[in-house]
Amino acid sequence: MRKVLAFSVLLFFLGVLGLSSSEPAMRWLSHERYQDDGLLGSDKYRFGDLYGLSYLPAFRLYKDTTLIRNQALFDGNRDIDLTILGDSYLFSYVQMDTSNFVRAKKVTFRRWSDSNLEPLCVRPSGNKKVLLIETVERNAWMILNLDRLKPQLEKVTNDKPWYDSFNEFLFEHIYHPQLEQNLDFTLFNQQLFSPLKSLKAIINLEVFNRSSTDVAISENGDFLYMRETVDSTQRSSSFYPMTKDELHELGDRMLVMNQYAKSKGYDEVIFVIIPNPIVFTKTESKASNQFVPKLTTVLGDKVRLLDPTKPLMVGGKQYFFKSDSHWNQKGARAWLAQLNQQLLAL
Amino acid sequence: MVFNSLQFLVFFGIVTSAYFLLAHRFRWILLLAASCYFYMAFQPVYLGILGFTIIVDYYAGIYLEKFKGRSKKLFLAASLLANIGVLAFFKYFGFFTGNLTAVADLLGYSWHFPTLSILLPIGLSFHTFQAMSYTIEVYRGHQKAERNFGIYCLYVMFYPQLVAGPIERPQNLIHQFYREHCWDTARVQAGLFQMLQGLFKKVVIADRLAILVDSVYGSLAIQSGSNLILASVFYSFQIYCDFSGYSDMAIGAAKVMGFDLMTNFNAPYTAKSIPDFWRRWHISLSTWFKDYVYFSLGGNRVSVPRWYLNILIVFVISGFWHGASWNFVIWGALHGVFQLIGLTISRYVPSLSPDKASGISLRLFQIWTFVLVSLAWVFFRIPHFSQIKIYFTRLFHWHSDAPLGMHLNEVIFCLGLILGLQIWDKLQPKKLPYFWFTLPVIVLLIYFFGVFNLKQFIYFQF
Repeated sequence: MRKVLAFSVLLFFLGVLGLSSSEPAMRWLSHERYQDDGLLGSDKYRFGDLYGLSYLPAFRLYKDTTLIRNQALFDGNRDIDLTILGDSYLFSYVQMDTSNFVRAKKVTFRRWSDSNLEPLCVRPSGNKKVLLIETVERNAWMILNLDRLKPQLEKVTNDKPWYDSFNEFLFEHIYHPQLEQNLDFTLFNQQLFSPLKSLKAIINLEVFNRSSTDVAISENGDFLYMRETVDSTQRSSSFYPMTKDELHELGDRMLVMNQYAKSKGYDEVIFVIIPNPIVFTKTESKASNQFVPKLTTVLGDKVRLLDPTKPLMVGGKQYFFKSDSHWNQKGARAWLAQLNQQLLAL
Repeated sequence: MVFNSLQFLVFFGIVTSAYFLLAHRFRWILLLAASCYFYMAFQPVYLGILGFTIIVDYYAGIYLEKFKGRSKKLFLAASLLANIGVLAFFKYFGFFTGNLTAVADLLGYSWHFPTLSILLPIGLSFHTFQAMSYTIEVYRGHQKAERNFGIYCLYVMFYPQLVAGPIERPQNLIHQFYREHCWDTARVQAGLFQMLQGLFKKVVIADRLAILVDSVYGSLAIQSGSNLILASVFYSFQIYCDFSGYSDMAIGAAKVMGFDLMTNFNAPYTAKSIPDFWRRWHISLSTWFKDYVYFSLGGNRVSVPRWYLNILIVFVISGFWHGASWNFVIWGALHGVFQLIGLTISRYVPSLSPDKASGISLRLFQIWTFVLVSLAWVFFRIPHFSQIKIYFTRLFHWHSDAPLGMHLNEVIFCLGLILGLQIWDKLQPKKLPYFWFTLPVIVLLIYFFGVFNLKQFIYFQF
């Protein structure tokens, strides 16, 4: 009996480890869990990524996850090869094909988080080659950097000492880099556990006035934000007192990236920095630092920077989920319309 | 791989169940492979460093047994040199070159000695000391040289105590690898209970206290004296729960498989004097220093000034063992000085000796010892002298609106946890009544009140 028990435990944990260490298996599991609406279905990001961090039941929402299609009702000549380097603001909301981008004959999308992929080389064609570099305000300082762009556009050689490379090689082949997160997903990311997670979140909030370290509740209690976007001591925050020198520093980095991308064969480079949701929801008593509009002024016409502040301000909080760090479909549509105007003008 | 991670839960489940399924003769292979996997989760290449000292000490052990006289001493010296050399190179090289450069600067020379920009192999001080204890014991004839290379590797690398102890002695551990450990339900329950107790100490107490401690120590310049005192008290319990929590999990994990590791903590904050504290705190290290350094220096069988010097030397080395930084040296030296003052008072005013204290006077001695230990922890927690100076300056500022990083309710909750811990330490229950019923209750308590941020154990850095 004990042997059977020990064997069952061994099989269970080996199964969990195997599943969590395999990329395809995790993709399959995520797909299945996100499809399932029952007790075994996922409870994390499907109800808003910030709900998935905090588990505060008041912020649980049924998030619309449909992708936007057919926004580019365009009969003109499609003469642009559009390459987009972006993040979940795009791929989670917008179908990355020609149906959404005017003049686009070909759309190639690459996530910033993807690594070890073949570089995006410009293929000769009669079309205009446009590179769209998209990031969000909180990640701007990390993403807008030549070192981040280079490996996407060319093969970069590894100049680390041999022992570091060897160490990395061993580590990658023995442990999955996201093993802890994957195990958490495999074992506990099910709605079955939602009541327990919510109860813990309520106890922490009501008794200790504490929520997850990654999120902050808005002053009026209606919205959840990424804490780093609210904490004025961090550069990722919309309340960080950004100096002129800092704006110029970032502007210089963008200039370098712009020149580099053009040297790799792109005719046009468009930068997009999407401001943090807190800029538009206006739930805080403090005024935002107007980072993107100020950066646009600093850059002048040296670099094409698409500032979505105005079109997003029209919808304000209606363009954002209450517990998600992203915009919703309405926000994405408003931005897409602005981008298409820009593509038409190229 | 830290003990408070899901990776460890899965690792432990696989290793333990496989251990009981395998025939006894294959178990050491499983444990060795598991220990390698466990260690490589931190920095895989550092297994090579461990391998180097293991090979040196394994052969040193065999030759120590073979030879006598001068040759024997030579082999011991070679083994100790290899171990201390590795420790010195990885842990203290930067400290020495940094200090040499500073001294040269002071003398007006612009010599810049090379520095190393490599990570300290995790648990280096622990497994090096464990390896040294093997060769010393073989040299002294208290332990036979281990001929099975795999078993010797396992003695150094046994995963529960590999990265932060308890620092075992060969007499206690090696023979256990040869003994067949059958499933013993009571023992497995006791082991799991100790692991849960350790996890509770780590994630419910230590990591919650750390919230306030990190917040206050992170903004010393604006804190008030009362906040600093509160943070210091919390830090005393944070480091205790962090380290003893680790030890409990290590001892518990070994116990489940049938191994007995030495006790590392015994209610240290109930100590009535500094020597008493060191009989209760990190027992495996303090006995190591006592057995191999203090006694080698002559212990107390020498003149009083020499005895005092021996005590001071041991504590300074102990401080230096903790980290290559002056604040650790001062921390160790302070404990030495406190002990010497206590000894002197007891010698000349026996009525003030804590040894025979009881009742209220015992409580007063316990409180006083706690105050001294907490004062020394300040030097342990703050690495820079400029910051230590700020700490002691701000100690006398009583008004400040600086944030504690914690709501009052949570502070009260933490104080309750500390009080509960002291009662728990006094009771020291070894068994969980109605195990299978109470186990899920404790798990739920840990889940609801635990802080799960994968915070490293403090002693991993040593």
